[in-house]
Amino acid sequence: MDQLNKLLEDLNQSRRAPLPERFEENVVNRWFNEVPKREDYSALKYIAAACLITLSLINILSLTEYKEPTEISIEVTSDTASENQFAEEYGLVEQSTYYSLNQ
Amino acid sequence: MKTDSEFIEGLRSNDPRLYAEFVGVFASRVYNTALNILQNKEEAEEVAQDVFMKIFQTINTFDQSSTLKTWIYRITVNKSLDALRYKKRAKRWSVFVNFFNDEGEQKHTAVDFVHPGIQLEQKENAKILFAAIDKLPERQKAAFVLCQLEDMSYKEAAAALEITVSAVDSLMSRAKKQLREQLNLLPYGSIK
Repeated sequence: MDQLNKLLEDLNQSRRAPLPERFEENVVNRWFNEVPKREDYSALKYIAAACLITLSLINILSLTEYKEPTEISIEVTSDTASENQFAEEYGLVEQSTYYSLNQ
Repeated sequence: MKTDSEFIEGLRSNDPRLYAEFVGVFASRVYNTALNILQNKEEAEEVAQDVFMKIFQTINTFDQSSTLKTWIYRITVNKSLDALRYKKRAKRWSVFVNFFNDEGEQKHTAVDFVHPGIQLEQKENAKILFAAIDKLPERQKAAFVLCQLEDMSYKEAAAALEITVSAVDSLMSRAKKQLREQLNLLPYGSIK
């Protein structure tokens, strides 16, 4: 018989190790100790969420109260694209080289 | 025995009697899986306790896409492999520390592991097998422990390891091949 199969066959007869002493008791005790912590944590979570919501509401209300319409008008005319106007605005009219080149 | 849904509802509602029953049903499987992977009684006990705490802490997020048993095995395997990695890191670090400090104490090695569930006359053979299992790469080891020692089907093991059935098949083939190679290296008469 194959060595591995022989070892596995031997092992199959009994291989469940007994639980350590008071294992189940320790697990349940640990769980009991954890329960209040979990409740405290969830309570804190709700308090934190309530604070966040309140702060957000205050923020939104204060923004709407002091909000003033602001109008910024930006005029963009096609004339600015004109070569002549551009040259005038930037003082390039005097420069003969620029003119001579464009003419 | 209670159904999965009854256990889940009971755990979610913090029912102490149901929790005790749940621990009673799954304790042996969790502890033995951890023991087979870690090959150390104290570490297996610690991991098994952590597994139950993890179950308790995450039961509300359990979506029941797998069975409760599979989910518990998944947590157990993951926790055991984490502990194994931690142990390996600590071992590497201790080699470094011992290099500078000769008084460093040699820690337990898995080669000495004697499975507490094995009868006396089979203990020597079990020691040989567990020493060989300990040398397997971690994924092969996890698949081998679940399929061969925990009697899980490939489908169940695949769900627990979150891989495909063919991947489990491949891991098992490679694990058995490697184990046979290791056993063939033993001197004649080692296995009784």
